[in-house]
Amino acid sequence: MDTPEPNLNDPTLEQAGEAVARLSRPLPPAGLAARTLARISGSCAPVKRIFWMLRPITHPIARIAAAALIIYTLAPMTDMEIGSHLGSQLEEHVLGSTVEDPVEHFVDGVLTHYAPADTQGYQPRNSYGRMPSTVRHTPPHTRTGT
Amino acid sequence: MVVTVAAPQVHAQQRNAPAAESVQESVRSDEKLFDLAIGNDREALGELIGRYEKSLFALLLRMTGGDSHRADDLFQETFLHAMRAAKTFDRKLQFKPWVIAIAVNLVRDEARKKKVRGEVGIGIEAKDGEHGHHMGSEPISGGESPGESAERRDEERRVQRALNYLTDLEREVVLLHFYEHLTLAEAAVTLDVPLGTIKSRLHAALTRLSGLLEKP
Repeated sequence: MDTPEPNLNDPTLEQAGEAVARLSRPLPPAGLAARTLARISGSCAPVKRIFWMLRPITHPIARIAAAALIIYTLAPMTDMEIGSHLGSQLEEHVLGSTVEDPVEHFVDGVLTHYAPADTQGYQPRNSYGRMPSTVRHTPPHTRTGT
Repeated sequence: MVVTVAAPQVHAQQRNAPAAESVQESVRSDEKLFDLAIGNDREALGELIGRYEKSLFALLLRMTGGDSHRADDLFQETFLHAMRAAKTFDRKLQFKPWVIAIAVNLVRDEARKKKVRGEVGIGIEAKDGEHGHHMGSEPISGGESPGESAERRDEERRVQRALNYLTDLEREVVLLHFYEHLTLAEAAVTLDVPLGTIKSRLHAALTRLSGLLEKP
């Protein structure tokens, strides 16, 4: 059943509406537009575009996924056979024979330390520093009272 | 503050089509200005805010029962939300009903929060200038005598008091249609309700309002 459409042309209702339409438009407070603009500029600063690979991973699940990916990629490198095979492949196909020797020489120089090493038996007893005393000691000249 | 922005379906082209050709190129539409503002054009944003400064502030002031501090804050919040919700704005639609929809939703949200906190909404007894703003502060038109000016202010106070007695939904529809001069279709879109609901709500509001205005 259709409800009858309300009659909005009733003169009494129109008068009420006109009374509202006659209401003045109060002036806004001074500097409202400037304050609004400043507020927007403060909170809606332009987003700096950063290349996606350089953006930090912020989502927790994405972080876990990234860590898992890194572990999955690097885990085989702990196997010496795979590491050495990969190294030789790199030497042959990527670096080339002219670069291989200087790089190997450089890496050997960085990684290998030929200085004599002491065993722990030769270490002085207090080489790890003094442990703080648990007894609180107050010097005599700082004591107060009788 | 959670604000749901209803997407007004009034097409900008549809409404501005006859006037668009006569309007000079130098006069940029609200939609164009908003587009530029989203692209970090501060000048365009300033111009857009300036265009709405008077009308939207006046609407908010009437909706909040003359509380200029609330109206001031809500005006700023409206544009802040508009900028944040810029992605949801359909470029083919009009900016005005969209931004008014944001303002109305913010007023509703604030009223809801006040109700939860147990505070009173609009004070029925809100008087002229009670909230720090002189409601009839528009410059006196030329030739208006002090007596006429006082009479006009009394009339305004009476109408505002009657408006304050209406429910929030009734006040919204009356102000949007008669004060903001939105068509019923635009008001329906702005308030996100069917046209029939707007008509019946307006009828009920005007019936109550005329009854209140008849009282001495």
